[in-house]
Amino acid sequence: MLTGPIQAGDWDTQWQGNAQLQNRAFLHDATGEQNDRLQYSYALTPQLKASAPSGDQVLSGKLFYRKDFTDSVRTHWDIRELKFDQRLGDTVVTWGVDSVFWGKTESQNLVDIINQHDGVEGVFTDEKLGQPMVRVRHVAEAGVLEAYYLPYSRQATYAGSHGRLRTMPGIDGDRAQYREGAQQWYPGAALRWEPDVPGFDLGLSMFHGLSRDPSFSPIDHNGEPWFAPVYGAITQVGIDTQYVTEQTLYKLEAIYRQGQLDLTLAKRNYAAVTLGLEHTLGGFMQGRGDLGLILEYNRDGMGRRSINSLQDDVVLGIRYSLNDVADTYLLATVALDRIYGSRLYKAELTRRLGESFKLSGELFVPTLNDDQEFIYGYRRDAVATTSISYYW
Amino acid sequence: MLKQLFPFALSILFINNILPAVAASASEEGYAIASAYDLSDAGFKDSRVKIEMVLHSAAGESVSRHLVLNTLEKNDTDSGDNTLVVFSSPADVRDTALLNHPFIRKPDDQWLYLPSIKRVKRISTSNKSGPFVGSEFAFEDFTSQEVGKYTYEYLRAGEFNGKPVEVVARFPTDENSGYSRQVVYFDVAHKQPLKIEFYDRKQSLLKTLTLTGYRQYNGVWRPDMQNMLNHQTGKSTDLLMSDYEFGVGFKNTDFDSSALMRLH
Repeated sequence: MLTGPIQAGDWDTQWQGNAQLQNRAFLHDATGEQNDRLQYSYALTPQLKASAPSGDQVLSGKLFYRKDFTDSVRTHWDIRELKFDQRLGDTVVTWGVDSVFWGKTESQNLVDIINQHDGVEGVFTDEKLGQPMVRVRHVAEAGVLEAYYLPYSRQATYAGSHGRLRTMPGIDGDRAQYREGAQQWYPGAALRWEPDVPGFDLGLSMFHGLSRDPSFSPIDHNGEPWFAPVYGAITQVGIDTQYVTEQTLYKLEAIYRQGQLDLTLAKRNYAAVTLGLEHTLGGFMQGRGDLGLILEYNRDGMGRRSINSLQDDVVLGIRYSLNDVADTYLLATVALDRIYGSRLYKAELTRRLGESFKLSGELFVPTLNDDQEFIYGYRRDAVATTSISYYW
Repeated sequence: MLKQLFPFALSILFINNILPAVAASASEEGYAIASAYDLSDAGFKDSRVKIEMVLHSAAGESVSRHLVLNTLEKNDTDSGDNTLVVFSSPADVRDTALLNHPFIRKPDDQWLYLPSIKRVKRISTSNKSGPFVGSEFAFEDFTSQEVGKYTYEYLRAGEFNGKPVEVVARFPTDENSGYSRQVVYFDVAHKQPLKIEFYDRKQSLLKTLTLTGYRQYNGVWRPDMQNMLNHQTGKSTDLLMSDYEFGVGFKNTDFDSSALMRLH
């Protein structure tokens, strides 16, 4: 018997989550197997959170399942979160599966490298696959330090042969290849330091492990030429920073990465940067809403051989929050590619219906003219997505 | 003729010499009353309270939001109390959090935590007059209560709901404020505001805030209910406060932007 009586308090347990119905309506016919212009699916996201009476131990779980009636590969499930947080004073130790966000900019987040993206979820979402980890986070007046051990890496997801919003030829995410003896259990590690600097926000990060951005190698896929993703180990340093004035946020994200496989499967050391600003006009047009104007520039040192579609792209956007009871929110952006002359238009509108429902409409319209661009296969995939979600 | 001119001459004298003294004393008296209110709060250190926000439309329909307001007292001369609002309903915004670090002479720092993508976003604070989550409360109604954010003018002694009050006008020094002035009715007995009238930039009466059900917790006065009525739209918002806790034991690092990550 170490100490006195066992704490009699009960753990506080909360079940929550959401269920979603989704329709994707494609504006143009595709070719071959991609014969449906309407794509229906549903998704379930149950969540559990249990906290110890002291609040120092928390167990959280979040599962995800999507059933897609057109693209069997998009039917998938994932453990988004399943973790145990132990708080020891100013330090929190996390064991399990979690997702992490790093970054400041809007068009992409170059420094955000802990999780793999759940690509089949769509061109808008920040949906990520759960990442197994052990994390130690220490919070002090001087800043926040995080250290990660990442024993295993997730494989990116890509639309299947009946699915749309994919490259031509397609990519079979399940047939991933690994370079130089690396495999899915290749151990990764990361560090992040957010010093408390007056006047601006700063994050410095380091990562070593399997790249979350694969290159691609030709394979035979049921008699057709397709691609397999090819993963290799990389080392990356990153900086994300933001300077804030009353109306304008000035943002920068930059990385230097060693060992990345480019589109020709050659190993490259390269730098990439996103910089830009977001200017907010409060009470726009005498109304109750806020209008945000976004201007960003993305540059990737690998240029045409980059695995990233934002190699030399200007992104313009507007964000409008109505500040109303329904939390109505609009975000519209266009990415102007200075290498291939392509344009990617995106618009997203969300609002709450009543107390428990949320409606979301998304429009994606690509203008792709150059068949040398890796995402040229998306050229007929202009799509309007409507989702309705119930939250409990 | 002289008799007719004389009062005129006197009034010039009055304007040149006496009136500024009167104006200065009105502003000092107003400041003193506002400071007494501020001082009545001193030393509470930190607090946590559950709030039900009920939004009434002009047509009489209503919806509710539930949130928890955490406050950490700041005694510096150039910054105000830090606040952290965490939503527990509606369900789609559950665990969304808004952190505010107010400053007297520069723009506040504000962060929003979006739990679905685990992102802490710095947000622009220029729209102080914008509505807070669709309510009749503006952001600045929550975040700009520091004495140093206004200049003052004592108006009169009076009575409100049968209680003796001192009526003070306060003028926001921040040019981004949505208000030209606010008229505050301070209870003489416990120095707390019972009513605040908000005048918009066009000098029209925009809203009235009524605070009721004051109770003393550890020597600090807090209302049970606040009602904000918008005279121009007919909409109103109630804030129903419950489960006040003081001396929670918050630290500075609990009100750091990185602390938003720890809310899970």
